[in-house]
Amino acid sequence: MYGRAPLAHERLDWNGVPVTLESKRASHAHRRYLSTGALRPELLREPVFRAWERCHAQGASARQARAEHLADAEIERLLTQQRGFMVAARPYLQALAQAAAAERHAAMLSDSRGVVLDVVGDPPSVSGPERVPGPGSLLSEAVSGANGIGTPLAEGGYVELVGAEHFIEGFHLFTCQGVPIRTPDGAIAGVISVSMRRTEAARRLHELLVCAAHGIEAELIRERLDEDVRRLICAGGRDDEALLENLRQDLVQAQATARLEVALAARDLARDRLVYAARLLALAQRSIAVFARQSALWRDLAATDPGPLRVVDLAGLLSDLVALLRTEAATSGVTVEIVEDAPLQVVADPLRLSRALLRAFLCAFQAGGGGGTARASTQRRADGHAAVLVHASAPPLREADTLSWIVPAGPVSQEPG
Amino acid sequence: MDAPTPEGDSDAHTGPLAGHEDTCRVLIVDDEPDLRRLLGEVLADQGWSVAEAHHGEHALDRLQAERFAVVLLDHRMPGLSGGEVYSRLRAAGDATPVILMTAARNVHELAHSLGIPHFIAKPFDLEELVTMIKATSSACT
Repeated sequence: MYGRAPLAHERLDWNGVPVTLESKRASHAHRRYLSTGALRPELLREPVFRAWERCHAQGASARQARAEHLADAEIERLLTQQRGFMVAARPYLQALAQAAAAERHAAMLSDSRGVVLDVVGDPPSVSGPERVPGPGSLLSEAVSGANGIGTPLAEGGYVELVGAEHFIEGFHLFTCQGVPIRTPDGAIAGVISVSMRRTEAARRLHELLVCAAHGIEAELIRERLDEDVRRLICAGGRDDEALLENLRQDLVQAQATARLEVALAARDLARDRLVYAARLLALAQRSIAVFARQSALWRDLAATDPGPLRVVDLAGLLSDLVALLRTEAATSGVTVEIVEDAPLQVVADPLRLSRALLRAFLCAFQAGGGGGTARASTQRRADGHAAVLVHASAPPLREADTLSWIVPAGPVSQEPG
Repeated sequence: MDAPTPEGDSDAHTGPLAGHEDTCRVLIVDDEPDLRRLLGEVLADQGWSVAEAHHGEHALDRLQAERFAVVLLDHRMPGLSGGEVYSRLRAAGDATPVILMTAARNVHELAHSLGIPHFIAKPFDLEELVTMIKATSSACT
């Protein structure tokens, strides 16, 4: 038995699915389109109308009953090629499926062309007569009309399609939401989507779906870091290999935490603990953001070539570096403090600057080891340049135990923050 | 949501098997408080009684004083590493099953070099971790 009894004010369609205002208006628009071929913008939400215009222009058939498939051999080749992406996404598909609980649902992953790679859901939705499109199905708008995978791909962002807002009739049973997943370079790797019978139930999964997309992006960043470390070690000749590997391990903690937060949020959504779930998802989004920022910093530290000059938020860089060095500092027995100052932006090569700051902190950890303090502060000098002062003190405090390192940070930027 | 677990002695999560403390307790050793708290919630949900230690020395103190079915042991921590905790535990004749948790690049090599047979890579799949805990602490399943 799936779903729940309808509320008193809900109207049900012939499938027993509550009719929403969106689906009612879209049904009307769909009937008009089928009979006259005319698009009615006043009956459709803006992104849906844009999608229908694209579908119409690309010759998609609104009468189609189901999605087209790739040939079996092609599906097999694609699934082998995309295995890493599918492994990265699996825990998040499972989290969506867990959160959907007893509702009819299917969480889906596609590649960047809208070809379905993986589906997790309840048995009737995955393999029953009214199942969602399985692996190998082509869900680009050109082939399958507006849908929860092709439309987020075309729009480059989150899209929800309710019932008849889908361009082809075969998908009218579902409310679908999809979010594109981006690679560390910013290209679209695919879409994660969730399809459900009940719109209201589907909307409860909105935050989890968005967070899942970011979670998968974090998995892709972690894979990139693994490759970077491998390359670094193979190239050899660096004396900071071990340190960089330690820092990489430390920043993976934030990602591990985020994955647990997503899993627990899914559990809480399934138990109707919506407030707890929302708080966990907010924490997961924060953990993912920290991980992404620190990963970018790690890549700067690991880079071998100088980078271009750009405007750098000095306080932000310091704060991210200190956060990344937290375990390293604790291992040395050093407490790190940042002396808060006015926000300062400099024009600098972030790669060189972050590496120079790292060296200063490591020296301070060595000098202040075993109970000392490393204190960092930014300085704006009279010549219009900025610097960071890293000051180490070790107990018992003697003049000889107090050391400072000055890291020139470049000219202060005149650009507004 | 639960408040963050304070550092120090804590048994923040107690599942329905709390009465079987000698055989069904899991000790989570990790310097990352959020990870300890979340893992504790998950395991308590699965029926285990959960205790925490925030560094290696703390873990050894708890293991000397109490019995656990299994120890989830982070490797990279300030002070004693997970590998060092494991060596000291075994040197003291304590055979409590240990699962090493690590984000190290080559998990197999690391665990092998430390002589720890059970290990899991961070970030872990919860199902995999729970299955491993069940397999390692057979007295509780």
